[in-house]
Amino acid sequence: MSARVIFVDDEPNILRGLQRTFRRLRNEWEMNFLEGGEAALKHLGENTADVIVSDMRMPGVDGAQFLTEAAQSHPETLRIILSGEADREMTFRTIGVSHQFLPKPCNTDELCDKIRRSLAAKSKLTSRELQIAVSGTASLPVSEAALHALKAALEGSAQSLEDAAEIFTSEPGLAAKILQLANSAYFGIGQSVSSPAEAVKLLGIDIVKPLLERGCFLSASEAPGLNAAVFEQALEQSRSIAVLARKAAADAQASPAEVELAEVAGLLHNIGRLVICAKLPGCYGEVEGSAATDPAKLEEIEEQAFGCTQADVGAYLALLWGMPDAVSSAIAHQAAPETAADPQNAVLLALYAARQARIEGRGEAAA
Amino acid sequence: MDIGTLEKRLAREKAARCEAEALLEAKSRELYLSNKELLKASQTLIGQSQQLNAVFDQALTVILLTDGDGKIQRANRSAEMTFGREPAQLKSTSVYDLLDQTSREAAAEMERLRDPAKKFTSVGDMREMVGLRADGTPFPLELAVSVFELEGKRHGVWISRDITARKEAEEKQLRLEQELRQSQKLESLGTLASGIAHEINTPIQYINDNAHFLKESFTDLMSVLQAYDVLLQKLDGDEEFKEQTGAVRANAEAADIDFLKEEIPSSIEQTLDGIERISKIVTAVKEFSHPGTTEMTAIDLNQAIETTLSVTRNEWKYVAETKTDFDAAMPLVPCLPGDINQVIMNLIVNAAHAIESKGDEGLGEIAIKTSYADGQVSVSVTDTGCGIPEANRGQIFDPFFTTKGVGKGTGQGLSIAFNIVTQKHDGTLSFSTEEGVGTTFTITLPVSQSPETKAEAETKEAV
Repeated sequence: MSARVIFVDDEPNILRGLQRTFRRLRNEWEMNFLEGGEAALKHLGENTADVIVSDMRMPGVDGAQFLTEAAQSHPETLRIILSGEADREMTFRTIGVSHQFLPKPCNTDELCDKIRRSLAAKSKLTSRELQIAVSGTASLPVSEAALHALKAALEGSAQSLEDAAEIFTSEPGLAAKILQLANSAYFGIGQSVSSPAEAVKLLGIDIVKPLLERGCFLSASEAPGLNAAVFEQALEQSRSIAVLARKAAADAQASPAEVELAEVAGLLHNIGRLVICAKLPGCYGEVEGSAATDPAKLEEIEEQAFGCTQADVGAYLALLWGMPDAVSSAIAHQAAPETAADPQNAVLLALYAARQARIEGRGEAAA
Repeated sequence: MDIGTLEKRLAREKAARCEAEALLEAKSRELYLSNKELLKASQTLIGQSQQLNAVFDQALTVILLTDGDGKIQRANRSAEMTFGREPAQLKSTSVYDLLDQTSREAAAEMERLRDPAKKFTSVGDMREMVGLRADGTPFPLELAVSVFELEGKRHGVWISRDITARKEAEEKQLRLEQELRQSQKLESLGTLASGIAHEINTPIQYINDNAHFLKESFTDLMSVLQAYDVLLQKLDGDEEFKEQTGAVRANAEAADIDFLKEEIPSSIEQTLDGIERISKIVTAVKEFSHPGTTEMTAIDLNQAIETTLSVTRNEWKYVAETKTDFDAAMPLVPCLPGDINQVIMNLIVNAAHAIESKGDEGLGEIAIKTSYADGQVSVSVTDTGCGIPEANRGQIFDPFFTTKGVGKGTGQGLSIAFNIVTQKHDGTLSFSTEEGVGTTFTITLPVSQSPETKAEAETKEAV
């Protein structure tokens, strides 16, 4: 079945232009071009969609309002903003309800490529429930401690962006969100940033502070039904793999950029599990004690419940959120590098090596 | 002599003596009283004089008493301190030696015109002049002169005040106001620029989409045309379709079909190229203006320089070529992006003007180099322009100093740049120059050390 893609803009010429450009994909996508937010909402009331590409500044129902409603009624959609300049207030309203922000004018080949890859990753998740869990994720759960520390770093007279940057590097939920915002054009033109610390510095305190104040990060203590044991395990695992992956990349004499990416890939390697434990915690049933802290056991449970691994879930989220290519690819193929298009990629190999080292470490510790 | 006569004389003399004694007593009493009064008066006078001396010496105003020729007779502490001279040195100096040449003449004129009958000097009579300290350093002062006559001789009273601090405060105020005006101007320009960028980006989006569409469609059309061509050739010998084939050929010839086949794709290609250039410029303007960023933000300085080069292209493209040598290991630099962009812009525009005013035939060169070492980044802008004459080197960072013609420079560019770099970023801005060869301006900015380099530095220290 072809994917359903809708384009929303108040400027008819933009829609006609997109229609002409994407005409060549008419056999691959079923496209609708809708003039304005109201028309788009009406369309969604009667139809389903897989992908939404929407403008921001529109008379009547603006982009932020439209996407907020669409995220609620159609959480399974991939939601991309295609806009010129938007004011900051409106932009803040789109965080969490949109996945990426592309500036106008955009390269339509890139847009097409993004959509195709995301849809491919989505198709790996055979459970619709799981698909919705990923595209409906506004923020990954973040530990109470990290949010506290972040608040302390950003408030008062002793505020320090440096300290904040360090905290962002210590939790997958924070790192992924800040990378999403910096790599997309939400604030500014969007640049390819691989390190969460760099992303924090690029965005600056003017943007990072309101993110915290506006609750753009989900506190684990406020996530209903979150499986705390699994969450704790995932955090610990994420930090440990980040360190190991960095070391593995450095030992393999990868370039400084690749070492940096390997650490991020390590930190984000199990964001899929974070999605599951926050959105579908029921799947873990009664697992407790040692079982809850054994990643191999958890993977087994996840695969039985959904027919795919947390790596597939994480890879889909990484693509939706526009993580650096090397990172999303490493997440996708972390268990079996030979299945990747580029199996010799230094970041992927470092992540794989880190996972192996961790498994061996556990084995030794158990023995 | 008979006794009677003698007795009479005695009695007379006695009386006279009594009288004399009484008189003496009265006189000496009188004397005592007047002496007492004199003493009192003299004490009062001493007291008053001490008071006056104290007022004289403690006045924060310079007070100088001169004779008719301007020789100093008395000077207070304030005078000693202001002019930096010892009391003995001041006395018998001519008061005019305390002023520079121009002020000397003005003060002499003031004194000459003064009417001794007019006692008061109003504040409005204070005039700004230039004084000289002991070592000849000039400084600004205010001066009022009044004259009076004593025992037929003319004397002068000079009242003066050192206004160095006030002048500095005024200048600082002026500079702050200019900066504020400048930053408001930039701010509104930034907002305007990003608004315009948004307006332009929307049509660019669909012009670009349409051009891409035309390009692809033309390729499709060409393959259709080719198929028609084959058909046409097949029908060529056929008498039945002679009329139709003739018409097709005539139309093709009229439209100059071979030319179209060649030119349509290249015209679309050039259109796409133009669109790409426009969108690059718009992005550069958006990035350059950075509206609303008032906090320290980390930026890629190499990227910022590229952006600034492209927005200032019109300023340099007719006089110079640009060359960049960027350090690939540059870290992100925390700064006020709008301000730093402005500094770089000022240096580039100045470089272009320097090359232009040298007036060589052919293009000059503006070379920009970045580097990173020891926790600081540096950016140097080198031009092959006229250089800065020795005499001007001390003043180029002064506000309003300019050698450019009317309409070219306000004399604020370098002064603002200097202030932005040194005051707001704790960096340095320096230059080296040679007349007729060129000038290099170098900015250095501190980058906060990353924990790793800090740790390294500490380890080194420990060893």
